[in-house]
Amino acid sequence: MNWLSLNVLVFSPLIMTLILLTPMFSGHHILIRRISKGFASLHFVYTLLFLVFFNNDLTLNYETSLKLFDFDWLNSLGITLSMGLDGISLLFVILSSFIILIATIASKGIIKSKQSLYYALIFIVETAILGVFCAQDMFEFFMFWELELIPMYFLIGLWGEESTAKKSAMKFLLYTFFGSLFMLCGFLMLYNFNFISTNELTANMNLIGFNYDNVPFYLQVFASILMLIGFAVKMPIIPLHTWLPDAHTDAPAPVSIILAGLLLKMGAYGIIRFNIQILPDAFLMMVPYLVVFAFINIVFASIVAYYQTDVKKIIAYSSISVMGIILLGLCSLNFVGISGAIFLMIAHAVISAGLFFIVGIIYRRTGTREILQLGGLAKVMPRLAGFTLVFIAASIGIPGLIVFVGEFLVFFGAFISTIWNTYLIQIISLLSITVLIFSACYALKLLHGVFYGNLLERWKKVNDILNHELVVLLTLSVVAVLFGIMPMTILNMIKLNVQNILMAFGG
Amino acid sequence: MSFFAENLYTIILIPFWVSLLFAIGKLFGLIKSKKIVGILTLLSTFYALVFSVGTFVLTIIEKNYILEQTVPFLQLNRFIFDIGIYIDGLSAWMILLVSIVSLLVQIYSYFYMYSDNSFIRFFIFMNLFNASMFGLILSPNMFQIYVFWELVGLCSYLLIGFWYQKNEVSVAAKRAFIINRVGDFSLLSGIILSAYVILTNLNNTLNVSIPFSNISTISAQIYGCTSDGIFILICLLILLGAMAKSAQLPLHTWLIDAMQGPTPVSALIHSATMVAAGVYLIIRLYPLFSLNPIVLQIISVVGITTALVCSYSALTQVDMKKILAYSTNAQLGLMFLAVGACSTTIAMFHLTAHAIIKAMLFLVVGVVAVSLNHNQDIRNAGGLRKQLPICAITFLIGILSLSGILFAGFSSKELIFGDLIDGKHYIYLSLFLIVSFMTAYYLFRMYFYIFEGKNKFDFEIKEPHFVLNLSVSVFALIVILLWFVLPKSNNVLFAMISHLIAAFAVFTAYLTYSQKKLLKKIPILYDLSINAMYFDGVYHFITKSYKRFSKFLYIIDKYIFDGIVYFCTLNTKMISWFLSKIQTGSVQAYLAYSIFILMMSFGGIMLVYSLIMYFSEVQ
Repeated sequence: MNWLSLNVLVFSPLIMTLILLTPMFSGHHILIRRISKGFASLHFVYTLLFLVFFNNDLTLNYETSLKLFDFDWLNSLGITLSMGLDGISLLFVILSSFIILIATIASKGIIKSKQSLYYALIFIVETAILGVFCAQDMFEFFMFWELELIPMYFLIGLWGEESTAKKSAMKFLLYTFFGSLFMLCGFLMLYNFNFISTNELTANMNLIGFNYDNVPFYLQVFASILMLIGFAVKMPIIPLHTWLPDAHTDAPAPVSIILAGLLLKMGAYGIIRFNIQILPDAFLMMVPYLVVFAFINIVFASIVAYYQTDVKKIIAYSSISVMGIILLGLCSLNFVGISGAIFLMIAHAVISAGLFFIVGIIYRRTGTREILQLGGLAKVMPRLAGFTLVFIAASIGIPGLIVFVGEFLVFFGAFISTIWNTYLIQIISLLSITVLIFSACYALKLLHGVFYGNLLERWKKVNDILNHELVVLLTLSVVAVLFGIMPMTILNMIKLNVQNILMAFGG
Repeated sequence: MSFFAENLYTIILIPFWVSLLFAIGKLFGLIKSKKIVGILTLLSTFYALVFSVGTFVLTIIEKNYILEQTVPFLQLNRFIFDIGIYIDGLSAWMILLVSIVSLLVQIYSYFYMYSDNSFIRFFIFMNLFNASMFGLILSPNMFQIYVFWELVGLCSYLLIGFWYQKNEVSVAAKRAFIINRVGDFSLLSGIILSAYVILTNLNNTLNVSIPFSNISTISAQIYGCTSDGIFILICLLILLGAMAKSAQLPLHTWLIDAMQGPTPVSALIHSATMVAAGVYLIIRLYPLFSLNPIVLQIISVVGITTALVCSYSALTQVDMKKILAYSTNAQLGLMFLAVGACSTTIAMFHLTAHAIIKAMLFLVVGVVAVSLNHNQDIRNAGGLRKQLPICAITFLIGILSLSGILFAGFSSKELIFGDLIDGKHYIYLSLFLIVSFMTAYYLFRMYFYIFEGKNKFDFEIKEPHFVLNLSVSVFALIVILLWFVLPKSNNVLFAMISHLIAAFAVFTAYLTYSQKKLLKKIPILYDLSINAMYFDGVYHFITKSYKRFSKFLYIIDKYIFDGIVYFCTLNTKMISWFLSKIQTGSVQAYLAYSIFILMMSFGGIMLVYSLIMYFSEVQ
């Protein structure tokens, strides 16, 4: 399958950026939007083709190494720009392309100025995210990881809805960059470990790893913690989360979709790839502490979400809570828990995209996101209320919708985890199930605050959803229902890879 | 006949598809005709009725008929979570009951809701509820029970909040859902805990979802390999789930809130079917619970306490639907008592009798409230016997039955009574009789207020649609027929005691009705009853504390977690401010700095050097 090239997949959005920035499109707003949407949909179809010809075994699919960057000095350091896909990364690649497509469609009507720059930046972000998920080399991973920061900074700062947008964007940039530095230190340590134990310079993620006999264990743990800080900022894990509510709130709706749908998942993906896969022993040692962090994430964020009155803040805090559940699943270190965590990442991307889009719709029509100023909108926007109901129900884990499967598997997996003999993880996983109650509290506060109750006089003329909004919401809810009923389609895709990851922990 | 049983899964799917069809039709504005909605709904429910009758007959003909059909829903290595259907005598009976009540209520609600603007939305939710309820009853294992447990809870919430424009409806729906969620949390924990026990101690991965087909073996295994504490914990967690759904103490207040929903919903979901699901679950898991007598004791105590508290609260209420809601609570409590102290069959008889009677009473109240322009206060009614004769007769049949005087309710109460005597549960027995007294009292009080005396309103009563009367009458007919179907113990003692107590209760009720202030003479007792033992106050307090707690955590989040970040940025700012102040631009200052730094560094080097020398000499 030569025409299925990962280079094309990853770098075509970058080429699209260059095309969009040429002067020939300046001023043609509608044309720019249509070309972007068209490209995003083509790109999505192209990623789906990767799924069609995917060999679901343990080999890396579609491996490439880009010759463009084939310098001697890089090669001599063992750094290559190589890419490949396994089941997990393919899943995230498809998700990324899908969410970007949703975001470009959702941008209509929300983004009114500097359209060519906006879409160009979106596509740079897409390249960066796809690069992270395809990368097979540590430094390549790091490069793509950092590449996404700058366009994201501008996307939040320039098109942000609030006066504080620039500040939030700066906070996001510095905070994430601060985390990445630790991550880079961790990568360098790994690189060094590998050289010490094998006497070979390589940064390839498949060649390095597992256990270094010559390297003291505490150094391995130290490297693991350094990398974890980088991932924890992005994921985010409390107390490194404070950039998230600000950035999510101030970003325009499509950018919030990308933030919650994809950027947070990069952190969890990094934990799987580096902490679990490359330094399993060190991760095993950290699990008891991480579980406590996961618990704090789950419960703390979901209780704080209840106090918020800004709809977007509620969703932002709920994202933190869900990422805590994902961390709990990763910590369980068994097949059920990790599969559940990965499933939940997909589920949360779809659901949070839907919810942020809905908030965007409401904000566009009413100019406010304060629950206290809204209310009774179901009367004028019955179709939107119906869709919101589906997403809210999904987000609180109603069975038959996508999130339930992930949450159930994580809680079950964490409870039956046999990694150590202590009761800690069992008690914590039982206590974490209380999130069912807390999530119902904040989710219903959102739903009732916006759609139930009396309709205020000034919202009487608000109109219901438009066609492009209908398309987005319908697609997302179909996905939410479909994979809620047939979860095995996703779980089968990642089965072998998860098993492979767990080999290091003895099955 | 086995055709019906083998294709019984379609009765879960068809209402679901109908609901989806309506939802899509409403989304794109394709469905305009209310007739089509009504016909499709009724057809799907009638289809369910036909199939459940067929299955029921099959289970009657073939004793011990059991059918299990499953497909894997989640399959992860060794763990398999199946979904499917499981038919035995119990589920066939329950499914028949639900489809009968559902069909009649849906016929009723077609006319009751006809003029409502959100007619289609109502039937979307109703069909979704039907599908979920059938799925819950036919569950082959605990996993599927949980799945549909949440779905019926969702449907109930949606239907309680059906008239969402009213603020009190919105609050009621929210509260109902969150209290139910407490039960869901508990049920899920219980399921996971028992799955863990099965997995680690027995290494039996096939049974992690606790299939009902060999529940007795699995229960014995769980009992065998756990300590008493863990076993009781598992049972209590599952039991709490059942208690939340069946509105038992202390999670019972949501059922009173649920009365904000449309009356057909109260009749179908909040009296006959969904609230009985908790009892159904306990009956299903009876082999598990019965292994430890303490668990059975707890079930009985919860049941009888709920019955007492809720009957007592019903004594002074003036809202028609609230009286019936408290009565539902109390009767569900009696079912719990029947499971705990008598037998599952008797509980099932009482469940059946109560479901039919209570659905009928709610439907009558619906007609009455509509005639009174949606006024549900019993003090505003009066003398309706002449205007609404069919309602009066059917209501009388219902309350005679529920008070244990005649018909279906008599038989089921007689069975409970007989079994309590046989089991020598004299404390439960005496409390049971007190509950019976209160039941008869508040029901007849309600009857006198609504149907006897003179009209207390000055407008013309509209004649209700004849179909409303018809469906109510069919219910009344079933109540009478059930009397002949249900087994009788011909306990003369019970007949005497029951009639005596009921007669006394009716007399007292009449006295209250005519004198108006019997209980008001003892203010403490009156206040306790009218405020329903102040449970709402407790919940209000919990909500308030939760709000405060979340505010507290938010402050921690803002001023500690985020505060540290701001502190760091502040530091950077101060350093940069200091450094920028140094850059004055005058050469003299720079010269002074450089001389200063040169001297400092020279001094420093000297200091370090001498220290090194000193320590090396010391060594």
